[in-house]
Amino acid sequence: MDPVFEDSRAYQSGPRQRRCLSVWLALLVLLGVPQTEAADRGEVEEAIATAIAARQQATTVGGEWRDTEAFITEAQDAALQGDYQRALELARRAAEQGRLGYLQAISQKEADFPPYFRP
Amino acid sequence: MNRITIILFLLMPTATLPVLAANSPEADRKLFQDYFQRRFPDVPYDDFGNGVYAVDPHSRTEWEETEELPPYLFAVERGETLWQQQFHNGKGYRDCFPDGPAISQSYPRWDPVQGMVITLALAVNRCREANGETPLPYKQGPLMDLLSFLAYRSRGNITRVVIPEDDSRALEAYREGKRFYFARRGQYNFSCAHCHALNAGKRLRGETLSPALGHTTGWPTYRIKWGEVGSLHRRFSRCLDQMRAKPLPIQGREYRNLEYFLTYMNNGLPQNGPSFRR
Repeated sequence: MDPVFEDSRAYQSGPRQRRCLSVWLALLVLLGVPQTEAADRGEVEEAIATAIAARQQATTVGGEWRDTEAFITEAQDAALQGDYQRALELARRAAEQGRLGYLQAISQKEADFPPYFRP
Repeated sequence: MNRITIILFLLMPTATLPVLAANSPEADRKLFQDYFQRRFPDVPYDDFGNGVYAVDPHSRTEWEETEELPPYLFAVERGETLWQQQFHNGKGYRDCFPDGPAISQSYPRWDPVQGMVITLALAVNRCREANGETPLPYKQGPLMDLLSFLAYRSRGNITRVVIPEDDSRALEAYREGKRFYFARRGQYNFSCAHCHALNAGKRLRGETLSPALGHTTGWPTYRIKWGEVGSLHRRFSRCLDQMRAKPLPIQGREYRNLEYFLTYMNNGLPQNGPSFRR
């Protein structure tokens, strides 16, 4: 038999191997995925506190964005309803907006006429 | 060597003069107005006060038809009645504004006692409070009616906002307004100038972006979107909202200083409020 052909046969999966693979996939879905993505209450509270602080920091320099406060309120509502995953996502989005709004305002402190105004 | 040092020392003030002049509000105004006149060489200077209708011939036709019986006239009539009314103490607006009602061209103005920019809306409410009356809401309603009447009677008067040279706080308020105007803000990372200077005259969705030259002459404005006469500060809030920045309080320091800067940039243009916009 062609050694190459023989070697390739070794990788062909039979019914037993397929069952094994299915069990492993099921285990991954049931155990692995929830362990990496699920948010708990403590994590959400911390994320919301971070978002509130980031928003306040942006406000001190006039850099708050339009939707940041709404995201925080929505995150708090989602947390109250036990939807921690959504609450975490919203809080992280709000925190990122607060951080970027602060950096944006700081970077624009010396804003002036842009060069295109000059002939 | 000493003689050279003395000569250089004597020449120093003259060397710094052009630098100071280049940063002055008047130099800014020239830079600002020249830019728009270069961008739109076919638009007559006074026509810039008509905003988008000065640069968009299609919407101009519709606007000219609307101006034959403009919706803001009702506000002007109500405002005239308010102007003539007496307060409970027997005094009236005329006592606060002896040069009125044609006074819109001189606002906003610097108040050296309070150390702040006073808009005409704020001056009206101060007048009311000084005479024992409650202040009027800034966003809409009777105050907009009264300002519409004052604007109507000020038509044709040349915008002349003053930044007193003897009060550095006034210059700082102007500079704060200037920084606000040119600063990027909000999630879209836009400044006011991105829409109304760099891209003025271009289309944004279904609208043409109006040039900033002329932005302050026609307030209050009846907007179809509002279905009523509204203020410049209300429009500021909408602009910030569209940039996805948090709108600021109407008649707060930021908007007053922004109005101070922007109106100074429009010095020289005739008043033409109230106006009509889509």
